[in-house]
Amino acid sequence: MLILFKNKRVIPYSMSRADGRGNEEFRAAFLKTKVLNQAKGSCYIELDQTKVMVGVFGPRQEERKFGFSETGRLNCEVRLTSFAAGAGMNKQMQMAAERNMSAALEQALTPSVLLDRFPKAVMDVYVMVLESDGSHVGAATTAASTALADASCELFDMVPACHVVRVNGSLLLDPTSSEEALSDGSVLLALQPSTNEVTQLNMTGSWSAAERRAALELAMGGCAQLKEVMRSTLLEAAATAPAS
Amino acid sequence: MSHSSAEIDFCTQSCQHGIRLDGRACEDFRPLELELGLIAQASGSARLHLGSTDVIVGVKAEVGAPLREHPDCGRLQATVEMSSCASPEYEGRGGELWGLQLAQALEASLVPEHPEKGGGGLDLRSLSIIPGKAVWLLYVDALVLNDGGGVLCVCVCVALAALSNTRVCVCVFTMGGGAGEGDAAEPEIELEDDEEGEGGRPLQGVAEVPLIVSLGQVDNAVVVDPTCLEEQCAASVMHIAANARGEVCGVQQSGRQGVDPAALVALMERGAAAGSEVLASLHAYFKQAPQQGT
Repeated sequence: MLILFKNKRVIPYSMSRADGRGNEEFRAAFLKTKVLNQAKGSCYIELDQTKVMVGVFGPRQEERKFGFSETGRLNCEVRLTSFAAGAGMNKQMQMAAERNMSAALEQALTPSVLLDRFPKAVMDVYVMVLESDGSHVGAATTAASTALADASCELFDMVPACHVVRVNGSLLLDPTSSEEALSDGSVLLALQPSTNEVTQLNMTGSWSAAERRAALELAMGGCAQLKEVMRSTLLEAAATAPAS
Repeated sequence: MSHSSAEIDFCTQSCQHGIRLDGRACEDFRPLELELGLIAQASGSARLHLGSTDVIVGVKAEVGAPLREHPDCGRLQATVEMSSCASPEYEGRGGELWGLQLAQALEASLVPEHPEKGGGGLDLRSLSIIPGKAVWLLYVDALVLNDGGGVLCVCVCVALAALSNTRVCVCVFTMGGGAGEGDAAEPEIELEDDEEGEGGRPLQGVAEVPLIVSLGQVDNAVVVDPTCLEEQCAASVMHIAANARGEVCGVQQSGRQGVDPAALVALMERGAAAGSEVLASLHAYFKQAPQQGT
């Protein structure tokens, strides 16, 4: 089922962004589940030009090298397509970026999964970043959380994630890649909205105390918006699913 | 290294009462022992003991070509090797992934994101010899000899110490090696030999490099500089990079549970204050420390 979500502000008080958005406005977010036949759960997210595809498999048997474990494990693997990685990136840098993204995703999603429901097993989350125009880590986290829910994995809560950058002193929500290049500080926040717990926070650049609070509040507001989109996508998918 | 649930429970309870298992208060660091200039062949070196965590860093400076995007900036490349004796899980290639992540974190904290703008880390523009052709490349190699928790903080701290100790040779370059044809001739670079033992010139921007402080959230208590066992007990560990001015330069969260946003903000304040204190005492030590090799 297609969900199109457009968040248009009536008051155009700040037209300083290249695409005419306000500082606190998300791009048009499009989420769709059940896009992969073979995967237990899947999700495709589009934030204008940022496109990420996620497939979830599991719970599957864990490899022997990990030994016995009373709790399950969440394994995230991210791949960047060569056209998503950017022109200047060589293979080494791309692999480093993929590794970092995989670790970031695991960090953001693990607190939301009931791992002790599948001991000795692993839940595999495979993420493919098809195209990146900024904020692809946040988009990947959001899509992965939706895909986990689509895979009927038992979760404490959904985990939306978003980026906030600071360009010339003003805070911009959901930056494009050109805005990220101009920024001198960025925040990535992944939040469990129902329990109001932050599962992941990455900050770069120097932030004063007041700016930190403002950036965190802006990011939390952005996550609340994303959560509504995720919920409506999943509910629509469940409503139109064939009775089994 | 996994601990039993009884050990974890004991540690959590003791943190709630404000006394940690090694007798520290919640806001105390472990005793820090720093040794500078111990590797003679390296341009700069340092070894740090923080409690039982032991990391040694050597810095080598070489002349090389700059990156195309930043033609007048030097380069820094960090590698972190987890020694097999540090923990049985680092045997063979076990510690490779963790080492790569640590190296990434090290590079992110030592040099600013946009080197051509300056500030926020080492001044890479001062490492340029001939803009566009030759710059200094700094290879920072860290070896983790013993892992007692807090390896990220220790790596950054000892890398900072090694860089403060690093001396690069003074460069003299002559235009036109053979048949000089004006601009078409390739300049020759000669590294001035350092017979008086003065040691070359130090690196610029070492005072801007931030320090990383780890804070663990154990139930209601906040513990600074957690050990291995405390990291396991903590719901989450925040790694906060703070510079000498007390500003927060970077935050990274790791852990199995989420953290309340209000607690997050409080943790960042604590981390920034603790980090700037340690940095102040470190820089005071560097000023009066003897030069490399003497």
